[in-house]
Amino acid sequence: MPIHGGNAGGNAGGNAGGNAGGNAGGNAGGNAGGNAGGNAGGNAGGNAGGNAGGNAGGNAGSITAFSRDHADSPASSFLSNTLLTTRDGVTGFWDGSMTAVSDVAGLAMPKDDEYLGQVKTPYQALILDTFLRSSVRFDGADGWCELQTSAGLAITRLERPKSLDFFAKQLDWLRAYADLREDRLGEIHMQLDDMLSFFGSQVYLDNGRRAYSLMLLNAARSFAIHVETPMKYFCRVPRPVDFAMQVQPIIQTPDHSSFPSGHATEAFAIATVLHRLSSGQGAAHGVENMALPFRLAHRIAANRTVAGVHFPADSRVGAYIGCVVGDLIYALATGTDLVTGNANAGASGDDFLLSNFSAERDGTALAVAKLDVLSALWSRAASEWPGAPAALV
Amino acid sequence: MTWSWQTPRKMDDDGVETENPYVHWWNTREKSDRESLENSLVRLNSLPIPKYNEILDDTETQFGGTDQIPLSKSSANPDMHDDWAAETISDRLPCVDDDTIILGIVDTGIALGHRRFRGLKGETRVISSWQQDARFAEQADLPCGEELFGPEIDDLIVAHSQRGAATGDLDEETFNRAAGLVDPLNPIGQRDLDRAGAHGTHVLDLAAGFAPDPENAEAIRRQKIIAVNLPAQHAHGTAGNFLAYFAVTAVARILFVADALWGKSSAKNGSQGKAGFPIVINFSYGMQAGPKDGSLFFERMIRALLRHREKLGMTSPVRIVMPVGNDNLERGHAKAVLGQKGAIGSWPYPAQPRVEIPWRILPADGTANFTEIWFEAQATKEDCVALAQDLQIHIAPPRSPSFPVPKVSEQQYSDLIPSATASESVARVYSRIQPGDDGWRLSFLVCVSPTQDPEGRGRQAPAGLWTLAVEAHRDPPVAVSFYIQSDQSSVRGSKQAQRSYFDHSNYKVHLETGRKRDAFHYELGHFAKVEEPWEEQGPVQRRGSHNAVATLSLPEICCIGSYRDSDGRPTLYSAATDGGTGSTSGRAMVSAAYPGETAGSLYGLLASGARDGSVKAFRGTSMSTGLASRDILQAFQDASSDADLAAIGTETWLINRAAAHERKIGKGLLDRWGQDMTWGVGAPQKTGAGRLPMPTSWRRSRIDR
Repeated sequence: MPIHGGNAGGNAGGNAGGNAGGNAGGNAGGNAGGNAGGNAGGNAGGNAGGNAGGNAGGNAGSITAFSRDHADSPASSFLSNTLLTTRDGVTGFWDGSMTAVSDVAGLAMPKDDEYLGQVKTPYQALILDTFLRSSVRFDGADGWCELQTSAGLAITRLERPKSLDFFAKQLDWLRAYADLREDRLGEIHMQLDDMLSFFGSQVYLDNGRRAYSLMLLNAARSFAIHVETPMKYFCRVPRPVDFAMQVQPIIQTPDHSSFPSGHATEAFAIATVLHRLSSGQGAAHGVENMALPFRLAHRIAANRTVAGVHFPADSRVGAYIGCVVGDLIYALATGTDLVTGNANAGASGDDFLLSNFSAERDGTALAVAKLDVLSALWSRAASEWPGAPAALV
Repeated sequence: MTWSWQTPRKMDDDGVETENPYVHWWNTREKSDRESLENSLVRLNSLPIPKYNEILDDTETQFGGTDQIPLSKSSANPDMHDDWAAETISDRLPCVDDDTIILGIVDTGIALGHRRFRGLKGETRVISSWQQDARFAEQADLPCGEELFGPEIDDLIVAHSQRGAATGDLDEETFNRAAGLVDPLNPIGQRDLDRAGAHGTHVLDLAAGFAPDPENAEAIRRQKIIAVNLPAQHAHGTAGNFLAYFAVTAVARILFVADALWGKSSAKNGSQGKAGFPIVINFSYGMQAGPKDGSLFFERMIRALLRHREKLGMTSPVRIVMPVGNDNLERGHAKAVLGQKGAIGSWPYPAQPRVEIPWRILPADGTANFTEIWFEAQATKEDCVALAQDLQIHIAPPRSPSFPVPKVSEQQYSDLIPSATASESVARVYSRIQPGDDGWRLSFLVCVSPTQDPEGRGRQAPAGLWTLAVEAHRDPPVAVSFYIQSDQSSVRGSKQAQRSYFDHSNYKVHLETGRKRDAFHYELGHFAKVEEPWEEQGPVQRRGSHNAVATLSLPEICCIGSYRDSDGRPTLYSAATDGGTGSTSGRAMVSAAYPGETAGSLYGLLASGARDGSVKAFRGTSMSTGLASRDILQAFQDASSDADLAAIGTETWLINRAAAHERKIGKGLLDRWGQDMTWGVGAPQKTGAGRLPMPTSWRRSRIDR
């Protein structure tokens, strides 16, 4: 997930996916993916620069901090050089005095909501991302992790199953799902980086008339990563390939913990926010009714088992945490209570299916303080949906 | 390396009760490799067909009591199954109207949850569905698996649907598992419906799928389905070793359930006069090698079952629709005349004393390869024995001189071993003599072990160009055919099975224009002419590549080829018959052709994918066969008299229909694309009496759910 990325360059890179994309992605993007793309310059560049720099980047207004696009072309040293020579040619003598306005009062910055409207959506997203991340904190030790409000109140807790035997017993599902690799290879590969395009085929999603919704979904994914990272840190579990060489995943096994699944966490967080925006309902409702965003989130999670890098229990727990994250975002936007609840890995023999999974939480109602920036952006996103079922009252 | 053939042994000596060499091969050569798959081997019960021995009228043992097959133990009835009796299933059957028509389908991956197989209120149109390798459900009259009847399927649909209503969204993941349609935790279990496309679902949609809309109410009310989901590929054997067991039982079960349904429904409806529902059985399966004169075990059993049903007094029509197969270009057939001089009839094959067929076996092939060598029918069994004495078979592994195989008598085999190690054989030749309608047939089965075994077990055969040669200085000469048998991996989707082929220098793959060469010329304004003259391009021929299980010529059986819907061109893969071998029961021509392909740029035909509402393009004569079944069902539905029923769906009926339509081609008839059908002429051995259009009741767009 890129935190910084290029716009047009990366975008072109993503589309072309080749040399030009790599170079453009690398040069213009300036992020890690873009640099990798620029350096490699070839297919790898196209993929890394394109996907990372562009995909999420300028394409859709995600968490891309600093847009370096100029008015008519991407940033480049050549453009900077020509701007320099142009200034020399046209500006003439300047003594350093204020010339744009006669009174500095005319430059007073607008209030929060208006300011948000003035910066591009990537920067809005960065503001949102920063505030969201600072609204929670973590406690944990080997084998457990708790997500808390910034005031230290428990929201959800995750515990690693007591014995690694639990995961060993899930290997038969790894074998079973491996049979489906030929069918799912395309999805698995696209979903290495890209989830939102899949949700974007269920609903209209672009930086046009759903720009704020898309921003929120990107923020949800980023927030989910923020949450899943310490959970993986404290609840670390080896990957399936560490249990059996025969798993032979068809993608690179990630270096970090298998448990919980990041893809499941992110996909279910996105599904929860999307379901809320489109229906006004929360995660439990969406799962119970097998709403399409949740079916998709389940498939994205299951594809990681097909690929050979996750146990079904990783996905089950990740899905639960993702639903909490999605519902938490709504609670922060509205300042309403959030019911707490703890994740459950299920039984060792369980497959992870939408029908044997529940996002219901049975804890206490926790008061959540409203996050004004989120509230403002949520309102804009909610207004992008017919009937605005998720509008704040 | 010096090779040597071992002294022939009797099949009986190995304690495997069978007359089927494929079954013997599997039990003596492949079974031990499967023992690592826990719980995968079961004993076959004999065919659970009433009066099996009586209807076959001989005592042959194809699948004996001690044979083992790679079917999950959890799927098998541990005891000998009970006889079939209508009373035992009557309570579980629904009741239907007297004017019901039955579509029987034998396939893999038939989805029971699809809306296109259900009614307006979400109720299933399936009368029963037997999942042959589902976990055994204690149904005492089944040898294996689980049979679900309509009301039980409805209960499952409701249990797994949103809002507890049959019209709610179905959770297919859990429904398919609960119905025994998929078994993900069984390494050799059924998985077809977990994938994007499933053969049986696609074919059933083409044959009898209808959107649950009021405009289809009549078809939904009358066209009911009896399904048999064959076991997963593993249980068939890589050469289809055991397919006949499951397929014959499946056909028998469809007839049995249909007649039991008639018994129950007609009693309730107070019907009189008729006996049974019209039945169309779609069997979109095939094999490549066999006698191809209608005398394959499967074919003899089908005929016996049809005649047996008549003896029971059931007079309603039964039609069986099968594909001609997709192996036209697979180089799996060669034909020649063997002898000192002369020829046979009008055949263009001059006799020659020695026929040599180069057989290319690929490296990294994880499955055994089989070639059957068949000689034309002899008047008596003794003639076959004498013929065998006149013959000399030579088999040469790659890079080795040819050397003779010892005389192998009936039901015997001989193994080829590399003398250097002299431990295990890499090839084997079986001999067989069996009866047919025109006398007795002598055949040999040549088996070659896999060329690679990833688990490092012994007995790999060398890959490369093997040579099969048959020599006979006879007068009069005798016709001989070579067929490579079907070859599939034991798990669907695996690339382990490499298909071997006859790699003869005379064979021409392409035309001079660069286009793939077919058996016949196809060009506007020309009559079909042979594009592979034997004298120049033989003995390997596309003609004769037709499906070995669909060669029985009976009024009730239709064999379907395929063509391209957009321009009438016969599809390259659609197999060709060889015009018949002069046998009484053998199939000379394809019956008719239906689309198997949409257009040059539009792959296959669109029909249901594995999940409800999804669409998948599959190509092949299986698809064309589904469309033929659909036409016959519709004609049954439209029939106005019993006399009509008796004629509809026979091969003659289909041939007349196809010929009538073919005559209109080129005379201003427009196709469904609005184009004038100025098509080139098809050959009867490829497209039968004519090319029939998509049935009018077939959906017109993918969004017609």
